[in-house]
Amino acid sequence: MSTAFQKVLVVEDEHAIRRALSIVFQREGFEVLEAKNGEEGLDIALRGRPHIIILDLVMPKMDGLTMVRKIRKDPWGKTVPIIIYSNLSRNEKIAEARELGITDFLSKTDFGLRDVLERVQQHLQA
Amino acid sequence: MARPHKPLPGGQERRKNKDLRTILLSIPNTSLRRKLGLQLGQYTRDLEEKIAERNRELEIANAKLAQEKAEEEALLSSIGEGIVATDQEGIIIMINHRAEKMLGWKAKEIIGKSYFDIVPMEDEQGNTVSRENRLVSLAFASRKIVSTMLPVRYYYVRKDRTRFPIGSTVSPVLLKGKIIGAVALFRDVTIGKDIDRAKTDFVSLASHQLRTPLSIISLYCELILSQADGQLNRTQKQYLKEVRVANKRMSELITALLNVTRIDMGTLAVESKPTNLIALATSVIKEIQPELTRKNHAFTRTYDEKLPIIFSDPRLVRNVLQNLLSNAVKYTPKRGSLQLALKRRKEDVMISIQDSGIGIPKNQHSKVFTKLFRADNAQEKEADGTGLGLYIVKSFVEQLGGKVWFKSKENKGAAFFVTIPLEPKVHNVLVQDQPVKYFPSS
Repeated sequence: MSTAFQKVLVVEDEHAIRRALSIVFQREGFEVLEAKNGEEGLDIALRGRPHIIILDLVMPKMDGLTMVRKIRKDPWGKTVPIIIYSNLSRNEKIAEARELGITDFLSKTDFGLRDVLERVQQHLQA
Repeated sequence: MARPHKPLPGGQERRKNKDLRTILLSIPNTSLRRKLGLQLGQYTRDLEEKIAERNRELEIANAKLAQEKAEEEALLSSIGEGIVATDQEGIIIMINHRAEKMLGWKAKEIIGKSYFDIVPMEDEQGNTVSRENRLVSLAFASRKIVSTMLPVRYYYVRKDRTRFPIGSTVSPVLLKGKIIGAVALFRDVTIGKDIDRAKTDFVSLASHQLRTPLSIISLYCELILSQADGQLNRTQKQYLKEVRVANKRMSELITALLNVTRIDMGTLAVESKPTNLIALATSVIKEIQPELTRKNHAFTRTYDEKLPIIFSDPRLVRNVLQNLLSNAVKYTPKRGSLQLALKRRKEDVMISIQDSGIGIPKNQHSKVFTKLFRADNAQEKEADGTGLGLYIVKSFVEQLGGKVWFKSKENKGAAFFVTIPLEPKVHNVLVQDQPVKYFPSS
């Protein structure tokens, strides 16, 4: 199954990182939605209903996990796959993320653009 | 705290003198009687004077004792720390004012009762610490001073069942080599805990802020190298690869620095969970495989068949393995041989990592685990190195309750040994050397 015409939402407060992710996904034929914090992310997710969300954790206004908690309360949002792409070095949030049904947890230190893309494709094909 | 001395009873002496006078009057010889009389009078006066003097001395001594007692009590009650003294069974025999306030108990309510029962001690999760793991019991068993040690936090439960985090030191009291009791000092570390929290937040924040620009550099290198926006020539690719290598180095340096900061601030948290050493080793080897291949090293691993899943902190163990293995690869010239062995022992697992590398000069052996130290030959062979790796290894291993040591000769390779307990130590306390010796005043 092709992942073309699938919709991905990138929630990331760092402009440069958000842009890099968008470029890679657009090249692969994804429709990309962007949000620069959890609050915006929640709003765009509920209206745009992406197939998958790539989410940063530490963000102004609303952090990533708060956004996940809120999205999980929505009937549609209950099952949307979410990949956390964050710079938190310690796995302190992993346990909490698991409980919230996070699909994957990638650190920015160890995973590049190619890796994120591959994970997204894997999850969408599964 | 001795009892005041009673003044000698001068009045009785006088009555005895009356009897003497009767005897005196019965002597027929007037001159002899007069002489004896005068002499006796003199004796009596001397005696009375001496008694009066002794009484004055006693009064002074009593006043002094009362003052000392008051001073002692003032000292005990003004000390900012709670003090509880117990006998050799842990029965409370003294409690100072501060301890009364912190625990919510009055001295008269708890003197004569068991310290273990009256003041329960809990761990972070609220489990009551068993009697044999209480500091008082440990002090009795070791005959040494024991203290609570971060990062493990203990709590005392007050009379009203609320609890507060403590820092405590317990000294056994020895009389002629026999334990006769213990003195427990404790303080409420609630405020200190808030500071710890602030320190941890700082490290998390610093970690995030330092890493974000590095991530951006790395992601854009990747974008350029993907050549979607134009082909690169060989030289340009090489330049970009250099940027990425430096970026990775910087990122590792930040990780190391943050670990050192956590160690030095005492905020390194140990989270024990089932830990599969073989899985950890496998993932670390996968990481260093490109270097192993590039340098053409022969690598052998020997894993004990009976190697159990241990209860430890996989994050810290992984870091230890990673530091030691990457050192072995780094400081062994091409076509060397490396060995990793995991061996089950009685109460721990021993990790040994041996290489045929440049080794450590004998005169620098004592400094190997010191922060920022790099051996002369290491510095010469490999310019990049932080001098933090082995310091982190030692701190982590000790935090896990294990030990690390090594054997090495210059140009004859190095062997590092690490032990990790199968389970974390139940009590995390610091045992010091000097017990309190009690010499009663005679």
